[in-house]
Amino acid sequence: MAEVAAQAPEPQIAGPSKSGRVIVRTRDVKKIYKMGKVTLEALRGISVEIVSGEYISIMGPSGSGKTTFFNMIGGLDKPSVGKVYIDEVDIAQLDAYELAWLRCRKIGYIFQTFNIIPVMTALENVTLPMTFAGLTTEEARDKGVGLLKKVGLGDRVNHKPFELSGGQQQRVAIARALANDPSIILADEPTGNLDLKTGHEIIELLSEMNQTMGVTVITATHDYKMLAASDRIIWIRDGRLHKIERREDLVIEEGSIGGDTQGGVAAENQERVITEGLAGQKE
Amino acid sequence: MNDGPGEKIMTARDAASKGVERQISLPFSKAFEIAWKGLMVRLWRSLITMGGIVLAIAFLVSMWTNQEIVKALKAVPESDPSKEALDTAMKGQFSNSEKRSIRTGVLAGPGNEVREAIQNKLVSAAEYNFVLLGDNVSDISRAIQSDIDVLIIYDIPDGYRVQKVLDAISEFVLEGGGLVIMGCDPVPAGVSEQNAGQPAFEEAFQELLPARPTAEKIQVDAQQYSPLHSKSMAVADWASAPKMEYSISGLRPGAKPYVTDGGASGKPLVVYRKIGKGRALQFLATYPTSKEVADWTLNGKFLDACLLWTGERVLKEDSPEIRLSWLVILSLLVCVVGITNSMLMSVTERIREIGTMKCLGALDGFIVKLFVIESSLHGIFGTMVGVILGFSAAFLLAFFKYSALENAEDAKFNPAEAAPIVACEESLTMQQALTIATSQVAASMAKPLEVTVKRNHYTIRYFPGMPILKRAIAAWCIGAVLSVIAAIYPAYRAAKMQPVDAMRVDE
Repeated sequence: MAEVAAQAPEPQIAGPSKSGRVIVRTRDVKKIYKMGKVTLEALRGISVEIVSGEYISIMGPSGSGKTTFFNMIGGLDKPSVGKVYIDEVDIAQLDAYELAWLRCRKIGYIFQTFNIIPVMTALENVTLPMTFAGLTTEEARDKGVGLLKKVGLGDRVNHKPFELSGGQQQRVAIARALANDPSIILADEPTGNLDLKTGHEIIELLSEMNQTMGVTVITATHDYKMLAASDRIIWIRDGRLHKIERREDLVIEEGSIGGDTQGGVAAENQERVITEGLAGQKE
Repeated sequence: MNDGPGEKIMTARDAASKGVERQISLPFSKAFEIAWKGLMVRLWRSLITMGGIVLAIAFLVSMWTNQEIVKALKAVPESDPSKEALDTAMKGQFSNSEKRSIRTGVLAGPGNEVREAIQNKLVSAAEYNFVLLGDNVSDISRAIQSDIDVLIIYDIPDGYRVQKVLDAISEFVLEGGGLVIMGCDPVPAGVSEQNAGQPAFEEAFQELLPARPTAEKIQVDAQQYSPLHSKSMAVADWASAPKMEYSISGLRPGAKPYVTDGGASGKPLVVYRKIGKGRALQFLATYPTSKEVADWTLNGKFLDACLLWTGERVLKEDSPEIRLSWLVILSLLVCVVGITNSMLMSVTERIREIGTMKCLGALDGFIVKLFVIESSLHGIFGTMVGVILGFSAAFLLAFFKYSALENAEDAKFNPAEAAPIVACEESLTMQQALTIATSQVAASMAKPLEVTVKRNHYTIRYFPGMPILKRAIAAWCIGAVLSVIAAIYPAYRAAKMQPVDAMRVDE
């Protein structure tokens, strides 16, 4: 690992293609886990800036620290060293109440497993964060119905989760994530449990929400289809920032999207993919 | 935490100025709404969880209901036409006398007829389960303290009137032993050389003994002597004053007064009453310490009567009520553990759900509320069902058990019938009299009982509505409180879940 890290070149960082205020900023973020005598450095100092309205994908093999970093910029985890600013607020300074407020209003979460509350209807799921934000039942209902229409579920408002397909559940989750007009949507492998076609629809929906509502979308993904929709891709490798690429700099090879681990990645990345594979095996 | 130049360290105050506020706590009604939905969706599971509390509370309520009904029926007024039959039906509630044979100690001085009858094997120790206490003072004291349930004293001899024996008897009575004193004539202190300086028997037992009648006309209140047997029981004579006239009051309607003239005609005299802190029966039977008296006192049926008065001692050793209470407490604890376990499982099952709620902005307190409300609802509904079940079971049981036949003859104890009187004529020897008596007793036993059949259901007539309602409410509170207690730890665990847990992919 140490050799690989030593060989890693200085990260090439492409600036945002959109202009706007910085919505997420990390400064030299490190995360150190202590398990008995063993110290594990999951993140070894990552600094990125994400601008409002961007569509960002965080890519990286398992064990690269991608998930840790993703949780960090979603306000779900705090760094051991360094700073994470969400909307210019240092999340390490917030107490439980303020963090809950931030999660409720500033960030919308989308999960690989959808995480629709099983005892509630689609509408109740969407209105739950509004309830937490203190909206009245009537306000929440009107807004929730509007959001469900927007994600294409206007006719399934009162369906229970088990009456909905995976793709529909994920649409409910997107509507729920948008409930309190967040600045950021944080999507963790949103297509991971969906088939190819449905996954594509979800990516399109996220992309559409990003463009029409101007919400910043940050996804962690293995899915190379995501790349096509992203403004920038943050590559994490071995706990470090490897590279930030703009979409237009990517060479997308048609016909190899999905399935192939090397699909959509330019030939120059081949070597990196191989070393990542090795790193993945070691974890 | 080294901040670069130009970047200031942000404080919580700065965070607030940046527009981050504190998340609001949701009103209770919202948490209730969500918890209620969850309960309805997981109805079957909830019902199974409730099962434990239903059974535990049903157990508790059935015990309490039974206690209240028994209490109410014990307080049934004497004027009730079948009070006596009811008492018989309820006898099991005083003690488990029917399962345990009572051991009687007999203390009789040398020359006493009963002692002689026993020594000549005219009455059988095996049949009556008695023991003739020896002549040795130490043996007597020890036997009184350890071996017997009821002590019968016949003509206590001077030799035993020593402080040690008197103390042993006092202690025995205070601990709930039954004491029966027969034919105890006053003997002045220091009458013999052995007990010179010792208290007279009556002085020692002043508390235990009723006052001797002195008037020529004696008013007797039967209830004062034996509320239980005031129907057929009566009072009798004073042998040393056979000329006295008796008038008897306090008998139940229809009771037959049973007056004998004591030793004059050889009929035994039976007067007994409750005395002192412990309970003692006093038989002021005088001269004719005959086979009848021996029979009555040693006879099992008669001892049943003693036991009704002295049952405390037996109850103390082996109270089914205390054992039952322990069982109830134990089952309540088991039920708490059961609820905690099923709530913990529920928390584990819902890790992602809880994590998601926290991602959506739920506070720890809200998660705690959710689980505590869910558990309280289990408790409230489970207890409600348990109260109804337990009450119904106990009520039905009492309804059939504590019914009694009106005007039923008291078959258990009717001295006149159970032990017919033998006329002790001068010409008969003691042995002859005993033989006649035995045959008559046997004949009377063989007679079938006649009963008037009219059943009274006392459980309904004397139903203790208010006390049972109070107990039911108490049980309800206990159930609700216990289910909240059971939910504390699982709710705490749930609240400590991290929002990140929502990201878990594995089930």
